[in-house]
Amino acid sequence: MIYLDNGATTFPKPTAVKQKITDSFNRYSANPGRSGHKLSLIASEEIYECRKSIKKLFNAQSEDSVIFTMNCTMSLNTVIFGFLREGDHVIISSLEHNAVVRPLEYLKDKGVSYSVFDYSSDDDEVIDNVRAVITPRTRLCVCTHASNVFGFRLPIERIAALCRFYGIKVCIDAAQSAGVLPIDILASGFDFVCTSGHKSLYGPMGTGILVIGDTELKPLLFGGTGTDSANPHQPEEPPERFESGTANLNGIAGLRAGVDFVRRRGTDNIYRHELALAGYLHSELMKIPQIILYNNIEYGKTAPVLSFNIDNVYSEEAVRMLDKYGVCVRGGLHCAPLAHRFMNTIDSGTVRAVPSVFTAKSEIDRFISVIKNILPKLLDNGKKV
Amino acid sequence: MLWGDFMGNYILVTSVSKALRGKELLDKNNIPSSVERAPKNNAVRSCGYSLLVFGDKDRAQYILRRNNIRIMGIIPKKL
Repeated sequence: MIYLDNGATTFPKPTAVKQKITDSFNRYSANPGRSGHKLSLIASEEIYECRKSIKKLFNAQSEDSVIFTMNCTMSLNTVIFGFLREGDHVIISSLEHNAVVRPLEYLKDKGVSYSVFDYSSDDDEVIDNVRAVITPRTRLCVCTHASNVFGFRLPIERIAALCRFYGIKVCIDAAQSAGVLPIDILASGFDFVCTSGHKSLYGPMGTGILVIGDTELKPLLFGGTGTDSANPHQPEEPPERFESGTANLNGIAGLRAGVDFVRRRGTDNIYRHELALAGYLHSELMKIPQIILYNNIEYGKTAPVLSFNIDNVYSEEAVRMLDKYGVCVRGGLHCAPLAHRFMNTIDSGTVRAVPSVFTAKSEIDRFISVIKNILPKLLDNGKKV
Repeated sequence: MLWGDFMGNYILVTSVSKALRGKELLDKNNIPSSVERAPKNNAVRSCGYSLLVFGDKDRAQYILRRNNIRIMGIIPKKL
């Protein structure tokens, strides 16, 4: 099997992650921060250590600013629903995921509006596009770090600087970049960073991260936090304010091992490895005339995400055929119709291939050979767009 | 340091994560402490956490406050 669906979730996970999860189940799977006995305290320490690792990876303000969620969608929803109020205006990029677009569409009925600024490979043009959609009512900018479909990287540091000038808070969707591209929260002045734990941070599914600054935010969930229980009001301080209900201890233990794995390997080393593979795949696919490519693979400008189509064959049809040959990739719209509309691929979708730190060049070679193999069959029988 | 400080004081904090961070800060400043469930008190009525501090409680409080750890109260440890 050739697994190139690492944009959806990384597979396999590092051995340390699997060991850590098993170890947590076997040794200290008590309810963290609740019962107060020794085992519960060990569980709390595990979660605290994970906060520390994430704080170091992203250069966050403090351990308390690291909040655990179920996934990046929940992190983004926490920011969007917790920060915006009636009359607010939001700006988002043309590459955003439905995790951003759908909450904002829902909030339209509540008096929140949003505008979209176009991506460009020219960073100066992006900044001009951002400036053009800012209004006096703009309070929040939600921007992906790197497109989950096309890998395009946005100049988030410059966007944050511009937004700061206008007093606009900045929320970064780092689902596709955390662990691959550098993120320095303190240096960049991001107000919120949202990411998943199970992609390039190599944790298990069901783990998400929200890193917050000093901005006031309402919680998405209210309930038990294991603290000050006689008080009917939600605690004011993070992280407990945003973490009602029992934490995913075993998942967070695995996430800690994943984050430590990334820190040991080095984000830039991982990026270079994956980008080299994506670049190699790109150059080989370019040699096949029936392949349509949408993005270049360039150090610093793109994440290691490659989208393509085979002639005018519907992407999900191509993915089905590739699956028969043992290749795992994702077709369709990748929950990002906005990005597909922007790139004029809304009707066909694209086939997306994303390598991981564990992908070998030989797997890319096999993938290319499978594509060459199935090409005549696909072109003859594949459902056309 | 007062005699009572040798016996230990519970410094009540708002959560287990604050207690763990506080312990780490006190460790760095050579103030021995341990994370404990808060003893019965009026400041944190239930489900509270504390740092049982052996040493200069005033310095400990100063360090915690300087690092944005809110202190809910101090209770001397009884023999």
